[in-house]
Amino acid sequence: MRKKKTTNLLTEVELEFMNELWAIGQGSVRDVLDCLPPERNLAYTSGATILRILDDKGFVESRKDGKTLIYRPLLEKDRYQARSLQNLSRTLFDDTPATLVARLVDDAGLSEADLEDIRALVERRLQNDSG
Amino acid sequence: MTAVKPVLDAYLEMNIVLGLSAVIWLVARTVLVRTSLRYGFVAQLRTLKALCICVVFSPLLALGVSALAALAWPDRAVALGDIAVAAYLRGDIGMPATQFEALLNTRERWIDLVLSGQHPLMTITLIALTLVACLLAVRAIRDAVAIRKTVNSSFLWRRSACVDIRLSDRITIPFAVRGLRRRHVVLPSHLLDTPRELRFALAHEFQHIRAGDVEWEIGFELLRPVLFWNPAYLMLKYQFDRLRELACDQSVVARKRINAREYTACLLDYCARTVSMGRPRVLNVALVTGGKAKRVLRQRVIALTDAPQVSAPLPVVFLGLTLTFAALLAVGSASIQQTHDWSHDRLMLSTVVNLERLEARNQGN
Repeated sequence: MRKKKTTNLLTEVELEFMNELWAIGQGSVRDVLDCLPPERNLAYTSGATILRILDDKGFVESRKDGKTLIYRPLLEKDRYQARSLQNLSRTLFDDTPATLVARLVDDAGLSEADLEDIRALVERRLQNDSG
Repeated sequence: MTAVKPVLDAYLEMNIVLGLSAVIWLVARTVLVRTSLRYGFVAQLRTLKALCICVVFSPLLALGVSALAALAWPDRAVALGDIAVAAYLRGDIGMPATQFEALLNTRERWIDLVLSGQHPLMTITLIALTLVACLLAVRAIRDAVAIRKTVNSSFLWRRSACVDIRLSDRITIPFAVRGLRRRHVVLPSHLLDTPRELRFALAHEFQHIRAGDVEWEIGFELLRPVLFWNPAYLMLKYQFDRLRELACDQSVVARKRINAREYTACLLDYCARTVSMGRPRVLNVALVTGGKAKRVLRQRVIALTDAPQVSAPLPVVFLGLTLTFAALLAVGSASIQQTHDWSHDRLMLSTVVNLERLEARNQGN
């Protein structure tokens, strides 16, 4: 059996495909391509290759349904989000998540409601940790 | 020490032949740019490759010339040293025999000086050169390992009889490389998103593989640790790299009917991506070679946009040039070979030297 390649992070186009797979749960190459915006105009073979790479990297698994390969994500979106943030924190914020959050909070794009949500999340986390 | 001497002697001869080939190439290039082959980069590259092959086979060519000369003109010498001795004995060179003999044995004397280790400056220079050679060898090994890692971690996309096309998310520039058995074209996986660029990159790298450029690159880089100090090597390598890319671009645009302006835009885009990127510099043939190759990139862009279409040169022109190079290098390498035989002329010179010394001693008494 071919050895799966272990890679932690997805490239831009792979992430785009994973996002569609996470949204639809599972699907063939055609299903994923149909989910992409029409202006992407990606060739079927390119789409098939990207999904095969994702399979090779262990992010999805495939099964045969007649002549079609159906792909299903092996990694949940939340887990990939956590992994991606950990990587961002490690590589860009000197492994200090507080700096990452500070940067996010400083961002002028956050509304009052967003900040309120963040406060609620932090308080809930603190209560869980102390309780 | 006696085993090292012939090796050092052969090494020096190789460097002299390389210097001679650089001069031959400069002359040939000056002639070529005045002909219709000025923009015939494919023909120029083939001619340079022919010259390099002649350099590799120069020891055999020298043997051939020596044997031929011995058959055709048994009394005539081929080696420059023997010709000079004959001229001296005829009285064409006016200088004391001891001085002439010292001049004749300059190379041997220098080799002895290097091997004796008595001259500190010479020893320091030798150590410095050895250190740089080791560093270059380590760089080549490091790049080979990095390339191997990239190839092993890449995704096998397509496979033909002898070429693998691979996709990698660790690289930004496509390149062609070869292993022991197979050749690989490694493409950045993001190219799947841009079919036009993917087509350019594939056409370019396949053209390199078709022309055997990867093997030539490996050959040149394997020689770098021993020849890096020789300006002739550096000049030939620069010329080779330049012509390789110009010829490849020209072939790609002509063969695949690719729009030259779109292709140029693609090259510039990739060049912008390579600046400040750490990637293996040797043992692979990439689409663009980064900021240090700005001049070559400029020439490539000008050649793609301005150069007229050139028809392939007549095979007879190419054959003529190759035979000229072979003949020049054969005579050149035969003439620089050292004669270790005691020919009649050499015995005569030695006798004259001894008589001169005897006379000097008698005058001293």
